[in-house]
Amino acid sequence: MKVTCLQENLAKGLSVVSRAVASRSTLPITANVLLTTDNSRLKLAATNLEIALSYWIGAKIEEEGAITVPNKFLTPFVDSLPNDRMELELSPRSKQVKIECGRNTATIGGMDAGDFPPIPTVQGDMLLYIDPVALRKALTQVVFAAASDDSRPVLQGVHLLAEGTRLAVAAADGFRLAVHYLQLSGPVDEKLEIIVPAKAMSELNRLLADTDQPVEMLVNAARSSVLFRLPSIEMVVQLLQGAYPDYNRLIPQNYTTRSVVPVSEFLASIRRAAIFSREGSGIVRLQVHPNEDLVPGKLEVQAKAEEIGGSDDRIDASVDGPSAKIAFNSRYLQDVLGVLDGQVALEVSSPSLPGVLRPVGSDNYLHVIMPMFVSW
Amino acid sequence: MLEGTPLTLVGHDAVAVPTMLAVRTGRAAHAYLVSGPAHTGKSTLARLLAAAAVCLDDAAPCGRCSACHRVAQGVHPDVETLRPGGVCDSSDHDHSTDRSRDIRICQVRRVERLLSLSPYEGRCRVLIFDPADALNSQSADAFLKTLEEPPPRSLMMLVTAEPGLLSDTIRSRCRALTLSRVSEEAIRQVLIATGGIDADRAAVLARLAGGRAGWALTAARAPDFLTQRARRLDEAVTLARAGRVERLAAAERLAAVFTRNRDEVSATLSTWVDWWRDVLLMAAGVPAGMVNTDRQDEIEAAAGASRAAGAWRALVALRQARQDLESNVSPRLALDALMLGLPLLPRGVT
Repeated sequence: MKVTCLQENLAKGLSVVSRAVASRSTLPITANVLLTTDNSRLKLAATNLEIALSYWIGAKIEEEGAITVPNKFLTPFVDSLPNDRMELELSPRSKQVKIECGRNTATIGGMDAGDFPPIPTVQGDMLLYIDPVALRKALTQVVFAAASDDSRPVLQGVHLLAEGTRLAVAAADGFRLAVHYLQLSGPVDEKLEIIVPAKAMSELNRLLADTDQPVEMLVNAARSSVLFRLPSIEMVVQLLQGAYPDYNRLIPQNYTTRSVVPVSEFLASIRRAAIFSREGSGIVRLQVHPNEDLVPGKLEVQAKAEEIGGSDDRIDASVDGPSAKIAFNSRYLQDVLGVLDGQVALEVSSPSLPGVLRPVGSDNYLHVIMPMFVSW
Repeated sequence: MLEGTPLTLVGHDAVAVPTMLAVRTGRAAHAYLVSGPAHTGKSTLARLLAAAAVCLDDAAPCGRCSACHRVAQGVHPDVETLRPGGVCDSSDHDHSTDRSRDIRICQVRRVERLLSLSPYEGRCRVLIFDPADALNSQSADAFLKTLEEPPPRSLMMLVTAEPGLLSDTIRSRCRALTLSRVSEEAIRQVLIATGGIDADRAAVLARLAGGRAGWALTAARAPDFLTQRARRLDEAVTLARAGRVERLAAAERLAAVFTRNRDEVSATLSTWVDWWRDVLLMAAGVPAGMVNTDRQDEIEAAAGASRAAGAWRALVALRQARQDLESNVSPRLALDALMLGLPLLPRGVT
């Protein structure tokens, strides 16, 4: 293999595929990056057996070939080079890759490309095109709600359900549920339901920042892996197996009190309350005081730290319905308010029933939080 | 089975063949408990079944496709073997440096997460716990739920020489595959067939193996195995004729070895057990069951001097010493007691 390319391109490509290099694995070769000549391009690929990332860079191919090189040496070395033309040459017998850039040279010993776990190919008929900006927003508003502990594997994933012209992106961890509805450009042929590991979705979200082209999403017939195709990038993810709970049953169908407040003020109040609630179990008490003649309603945010003190904030709110109270974990409120802007509506019906937050002016997102049981 | 790969299972057709067929046709149980004496082929059977589950050919396991080869080499992405001290997801500790002797709960959590993902190459995910008795109580409890409700397209195998160490809850959720010792003749044939070993050596090793084919194959591959055995037997002969002072010096030497290399001492003691057992058989007049037939003259001489009672005392002392070393008695004391327990034979021609 003999290839010439630009340092800038190689460094960029390596920074992308490095995210899929395994840090702890039973297969040592997965700590390597696979370099393959592919027509007139150089393909970089890495897999940790859960996520596989491939990236193509423009290169002048003088001799075809393939090799895997330890990422631990390759990426930092390439990063340290000046932005210039560089040459990679493999001596097949010793499996040493010689990298030259200007007056800087390095040799790195590699392992056979044939021993690298095959990057899964995804072939199937379920192909969706998704707008990257909308997808990015959906992922930002949903992924954080997935479970991080090991209690139920499916809850560590993000549930995608495509039906008609709508793609529902949802995550839940048993105490909260986030659902974002995306509009697709055209209807899907048949209902598609998959669970993608949340970690992979965070990676996808990061990759989406650099693109404005529609993202291709392809699911194989066995429903075992999904491919996301971005310009020059392919990400293949192994899907979670199992049945996702029917979350629609968890969404309260009605409410008694609805209060609308500015997100920024609400978030600031919750952050203040969190200073005190940290001492307890993160409990923040919300009380809704309805509008009275000429006096706007209030949302009161209270927190207590035993034997220390507490805080009490009041935010002007436009309230619809009778007075209400409910207690939440401050972290859950901070998480969801952190991904919203403008005005948010809080819908509650009783201190023991879940509360719902919805952005005002759009009906494509909702967030359900289980209340905490406290004595009022 | 699977000639040309490191997966050679000797004997056990009655257990292996139907199970292999079940895996191949998708009628396998979700979990198997593979038990039997050490070195009889439990791990090999587990890996053969794994190969059958992920093989790309219809005649799985074909032994020729890349999946079979990678299972044999232990590098198939869908076949994961859990051993004490393997990798886990948490970054704050390193099993390889803290000499973990258990399969820990964090390792179990990692594989539970892996098992919930679709297989990387599309067929099946296989987990092999080797040895399963290394699961400590927390990790065994954590694993129960997965064992009870296995994800689709998964196969679990628990390999152990000590099924009694597993909890009932674990054992009752697996289908049992029990391997027993195989015949001396089968081992002898396999030793000759795998090449590089002449008929005489094969006969000696097959006899020494005591029905454990894995042991015989390892011994055949280790070039100095027979030399080491000869050295250990010489030591046994010398010690039998030695006085107390020399014996205690030998005990001190062995105790020093024990702190560095437990296995070496355990191998030495087990060779000595074989030798004294032969002496006992000879003294009792039933030499047919002897193992060290190449040492018949020395054994006859020792049998004449020690009588059956003496050989019996030696075996009791050896058993006690092995038990003591297992249960963390001071090695020096255990070995001193052993040396004093061996019968004192008159010095003379050996």
